[in-house]
Amino acid sequence: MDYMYSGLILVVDLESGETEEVDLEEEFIRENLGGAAANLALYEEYKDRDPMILGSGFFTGTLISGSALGIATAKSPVTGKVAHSPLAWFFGPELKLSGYDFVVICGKSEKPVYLWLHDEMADIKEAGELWGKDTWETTDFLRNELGDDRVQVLTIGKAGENQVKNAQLINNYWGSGDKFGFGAIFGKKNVKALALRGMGELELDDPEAFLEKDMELLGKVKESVSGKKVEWLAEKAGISLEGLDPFIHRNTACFNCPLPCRPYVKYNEVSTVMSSTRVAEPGVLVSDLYGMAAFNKKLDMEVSLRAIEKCCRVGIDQVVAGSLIKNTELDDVLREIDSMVPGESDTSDIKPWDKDFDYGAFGSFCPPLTDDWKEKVAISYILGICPILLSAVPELSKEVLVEMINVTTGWDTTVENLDSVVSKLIG
Amino acid sequence: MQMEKKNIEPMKCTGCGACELACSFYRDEVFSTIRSSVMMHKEEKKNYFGIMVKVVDDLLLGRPEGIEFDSEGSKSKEQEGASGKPILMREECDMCKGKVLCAKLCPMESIIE
Ligand code: SF4
Ligand code: SF4
Ligand code: SF4
Repeated sequence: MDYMYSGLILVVDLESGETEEVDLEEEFIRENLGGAAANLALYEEYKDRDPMILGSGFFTGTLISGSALGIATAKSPVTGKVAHSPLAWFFGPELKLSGYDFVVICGKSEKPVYLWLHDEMADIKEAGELWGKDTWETTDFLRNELGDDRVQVLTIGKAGENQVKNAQLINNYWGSGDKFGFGAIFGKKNVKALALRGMGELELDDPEAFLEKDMELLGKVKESVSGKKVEWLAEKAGISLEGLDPFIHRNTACFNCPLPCRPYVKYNEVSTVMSSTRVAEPGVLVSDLYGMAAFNKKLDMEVSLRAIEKCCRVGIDQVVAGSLIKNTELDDVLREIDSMVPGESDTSDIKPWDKDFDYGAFGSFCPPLTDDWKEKVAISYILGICPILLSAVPELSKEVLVEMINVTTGWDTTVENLDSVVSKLIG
Repeated sequence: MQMEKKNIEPMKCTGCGACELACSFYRDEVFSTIRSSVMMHKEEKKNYFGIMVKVVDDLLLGRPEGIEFDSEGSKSKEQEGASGKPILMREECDMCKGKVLCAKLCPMESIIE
């Protein structure tokens, strides 16, 4: 595949410790476009080797607004079925630019390892000394070891190591869109982390035409999202943000996203401090509103936010932990979260998403925002554009997205083709 | 022509990185983050972030505390050569010969034409 992708699929065999590079064929992308649909095809291909697929969407890592998504696909320990989890922030773009558009992780390693992908090179490295560390320590360690603060990390804490059902993949330090217990799969495979650095580049067919269209589109996108932040999303989700404001430091956004819906909150330092002080760990990123709400129903806001940090560190789904929590005092709450991550703990009755909506294979990255939510999510997971943005911006229509596919590749694909790829995911 | 203090409003920045993509696109007509004259600086755990722009003999820093030129930082780091901060090996901002793509593509108008 010459355009929009780096051109390689990496197949990691954890049994033998070998990696193999497979060319990403244009035919494969024409058929599946990318993201969840391509992941699913790869899942089928490697099915008998217990695979987990990490993939990038068609637009991931590009100048199209909101092109922040990577997608993880595997058989979920929570549902027992093949499922897709969105990984926002900077994971998807970093993956694609590392040289590997898709990574297929097969089998199980005998000893703890981590994977390090950069500059079209893939290493399987020993992770003995990382096993047992929390996710914050792990990300700090890897960024230090690999000598670059911009390394993106997908890692697990105690919950994943112990294969707790609702163990979550943690993205650097923060909760991810993994609602399917994929953290437990890392644990089972003896993979502590995947570290990425993307210094590559993606070519496109007609840069000039693309730029013109992209600037026009961005103008419309900016109009549609103007002023929209976490408050907008919370209202859509029916979640109260009461008490959050005093903790908000700055709103932040994922890669190339004009809708900064992720507030960072400070509780170990006055939230309005803008400089970099000696307080090394002033707070946490609120990346899962449902998670925050699950705690905040029972706990005051500060304890809720500190509980979110704890969930990130041990790598358990925030909604699940928040639903189970019984204590209200901070120390007890933190201890109680610790008690949820030994292997024998049973979280199986708790659904880590809004119970009123059948998300099927998608989990809940955010509340259903439109009437055609399933289709929106499918398009989003295939093309790599955040579903929140896709929902907030009517101009990011199927027609426009197909036009952008054609400008960047020189193809003449159609909305019908996109629909048929979407139907592979939602029938 | 190069980026000036008046072109940056650091507190509008969300750390999205579109400016890096924009400048790399100007340089090579590809999607990449490493070809740009502008670079994000992030201390992720603290949510501290801003941008640095490579200008002639200097770095222009747009940080939450304010905007300043950092010629000293630039020179001392330059002596580190290849192992120094990658921004010092980048091309200097030339306002894309009038296009100012990073400003056009910054979704938050944190860089302004
Ligand atoms: S809408 Fe929110 S979650 Fe989605 S890419 Fe933007 S900042 Fe990230
Ligand atoms: S103005 Fe142009 S050359 Fe200067 S940093 Fe921005 S994109 Fe790069
Ligand atoms: S594009 Fe704008 S908002 Fe995004 S990192 Fe650059 S300056 Fe900040």
